[in-house]
Amino acid sequence: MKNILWAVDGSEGSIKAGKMVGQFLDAFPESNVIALHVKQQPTFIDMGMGVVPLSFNDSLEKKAKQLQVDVEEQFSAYLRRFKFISTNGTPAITICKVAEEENVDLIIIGSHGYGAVDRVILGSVSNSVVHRSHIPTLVVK
Amino acid sequence: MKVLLAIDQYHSDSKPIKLAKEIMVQVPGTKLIVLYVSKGSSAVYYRTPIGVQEAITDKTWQCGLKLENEILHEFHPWVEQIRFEHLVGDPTKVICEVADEEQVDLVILGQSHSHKEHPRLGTVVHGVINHINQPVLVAI
Repeated sequence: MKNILWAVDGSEGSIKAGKMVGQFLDAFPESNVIALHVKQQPTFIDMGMGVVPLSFNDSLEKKAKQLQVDVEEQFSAYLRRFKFISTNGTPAITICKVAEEENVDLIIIGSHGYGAVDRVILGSVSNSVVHRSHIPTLVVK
Repeated sequence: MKVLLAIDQYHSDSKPIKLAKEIMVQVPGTKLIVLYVSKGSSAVYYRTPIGVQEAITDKTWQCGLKLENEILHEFHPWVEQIRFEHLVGDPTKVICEVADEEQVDLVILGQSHSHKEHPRLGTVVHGVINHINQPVLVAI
């Protein structure tokens, strides 16, 4: 197992997944970790409608930067084997795309993210990734 | 570390078995429970125990024995750390129950009939992901 992709959004689920990532880094000394944060635009923007206030993008950017600082601090012992990527897009699709581009062997994802409905019913992103991905996916509860 | 591997078919190059082996190699002392669940007769009413019989046919029993031999052969370097279980019941429910009872750290699931172009999850995998309390590794 050489490359592991950790989908991170700062939610409780992704923090739990992060602990699992730590265990994998210890168990597989050759492995590298890519922490992927996907900034999701509101749905209607994806469809080419509506205008996003600049402050919205700024807040997403700020959140991503803060997340990067937190995550790099958490994995300060493994910084050589650690990479943080932040992109725009639809989370599930982007996660699968990046996983395939980077030739990842394992995707680690928290079961519940930040979505409002997700927390009540089930993680839509994790569910979607499990359904789409050709790569083994570890869903951490 | 305690790992539960739920399988319904044996292929030496299937992803779940490969992953389980990799973990056995990398994490010494890992205990592996290989679980094979055969469905007993279905309930009269959906999701009720009415009419369920926990009896299996001789053929199913033989399938279990064959699978056990194949698995024990595949994992022969770790004979002491591996346990094979053949249980009868609703697969989703049994997998979740065993995972809870044994307090495993990781559950590995796979799919026997995978479509490479269009991976589709089976109902068991879907049900387990939604109901289980442990981390699940889905390898298709």
